[in-house]
Amino acid sequence: MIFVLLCYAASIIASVGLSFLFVGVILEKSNSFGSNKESVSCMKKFKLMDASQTPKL
Amino acid sequence: MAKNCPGCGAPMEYDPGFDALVCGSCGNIIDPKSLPDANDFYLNYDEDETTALEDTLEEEELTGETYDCHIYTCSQCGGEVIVSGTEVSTKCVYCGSTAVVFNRIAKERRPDYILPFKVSKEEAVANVKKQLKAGFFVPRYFKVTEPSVVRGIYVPYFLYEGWFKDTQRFMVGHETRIYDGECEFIDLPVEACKNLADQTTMQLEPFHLNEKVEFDSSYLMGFYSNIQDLDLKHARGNATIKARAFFDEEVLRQIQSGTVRKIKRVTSVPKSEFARSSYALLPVWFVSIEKKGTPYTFLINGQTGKVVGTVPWNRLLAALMIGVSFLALASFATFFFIKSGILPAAMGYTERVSRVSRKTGGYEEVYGGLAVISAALGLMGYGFARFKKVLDNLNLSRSVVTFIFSKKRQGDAK
Repeated sequence: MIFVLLCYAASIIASVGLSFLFVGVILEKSNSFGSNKESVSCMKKFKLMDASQTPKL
Repeated sequence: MAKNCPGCGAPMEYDPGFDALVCGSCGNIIDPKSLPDANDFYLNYDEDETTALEDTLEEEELTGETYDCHIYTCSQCGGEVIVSGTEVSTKCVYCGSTAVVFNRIAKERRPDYILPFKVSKEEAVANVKKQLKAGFFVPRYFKVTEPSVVRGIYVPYFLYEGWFKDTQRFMVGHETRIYDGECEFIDLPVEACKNLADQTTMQLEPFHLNEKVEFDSSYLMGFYSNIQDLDLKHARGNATIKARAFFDEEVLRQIQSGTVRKIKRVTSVPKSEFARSSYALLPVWFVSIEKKGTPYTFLINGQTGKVVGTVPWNRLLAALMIGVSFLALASFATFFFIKSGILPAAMGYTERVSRVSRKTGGYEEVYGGLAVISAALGLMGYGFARFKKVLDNLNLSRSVVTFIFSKKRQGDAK
């Protein structure tokens, strides 16, 4: 029975978190401007190689 | 020294819409480059006069009741113009003339480039208003109040060229991956003044620097500007930090695009080399709205019109939304818990655990429950963290440092 009660308590705690998360996301979009990421035009010739897949001799 | 209209003699201002100097009196429009560049003036400045000015200021500091500024005489009306210690140009507070103060700029290196304003004052204010009106939690006061201060300021930047290489080891799920990456940077902008918060100026980017032009003092007419006060050692360090942030972000973006697994950077071996290529002035609009004596400053990229800033939220509405959301979610959770079969399953688990616990002491049930509680607490913590992030952004926008930057240019810094 303890497990059942703890699970229910957890769902209530999660509800509190989700409420803040939900309002926080809307708040951020609503009241904070300019935080969106944009492309970096000064970065040129970007190369990335997966060195872990290089065959070992 | 103002640039006057050849037709009527009135002071001219640079108009981003026309990309030209416009006379407010007769409407004359002139290409900035067609007028003689007054920069020659400060290349031949009177050193004795500058020394005398500094001596006067030192004397004033000794007697107290002063603040760090310089006083110049307007070349148009003879009135005294008050500017902060790092000013390049300012408007005359008496006649409104766009007098460029060459005494001060003479001590510093002339900028190599300037990115002229493309966004007009009206467009900048309209952009801010549009953002505020669209905000669900923005208090009505901000939606209806006109800005108290609107200033176009050229912010100094060093433009760096260089390269960045790094070998990074990641944990992708339970697998170890090593990536070698490299890139070049051309015209990496690094802010050259200390007055502004780094985070704010980074959000203002990108500036499209392929549109920069050779520096001409004509572009300063009607705007304010600041000279570099960050030493080169720090600026170079900032260039490396900024390049690394861009590089890391791009590496992560590329790795994440190919997997849904959890990615964690474990080690990094960065190498870089940067050299300052040029010194440029970039355009930023400062729009401040005052509420109960507290300024809320928005920065607008003078080239793209991008708005950066944060306003306080309508607390009552936010609290109401949190309450309603909580009640809705809690009711749903209760309903779901009873109806979905989770309750019988949990009861079944409890019974199974109870049978085992008779032999082991009865702690399994508690451990299982605590694990679920921990997960719920983690979720709650994440929700709170998002709230804190918004609060941090708000503090940045309220920053007194940011406000002083624009306020000083009005000559009424306290």
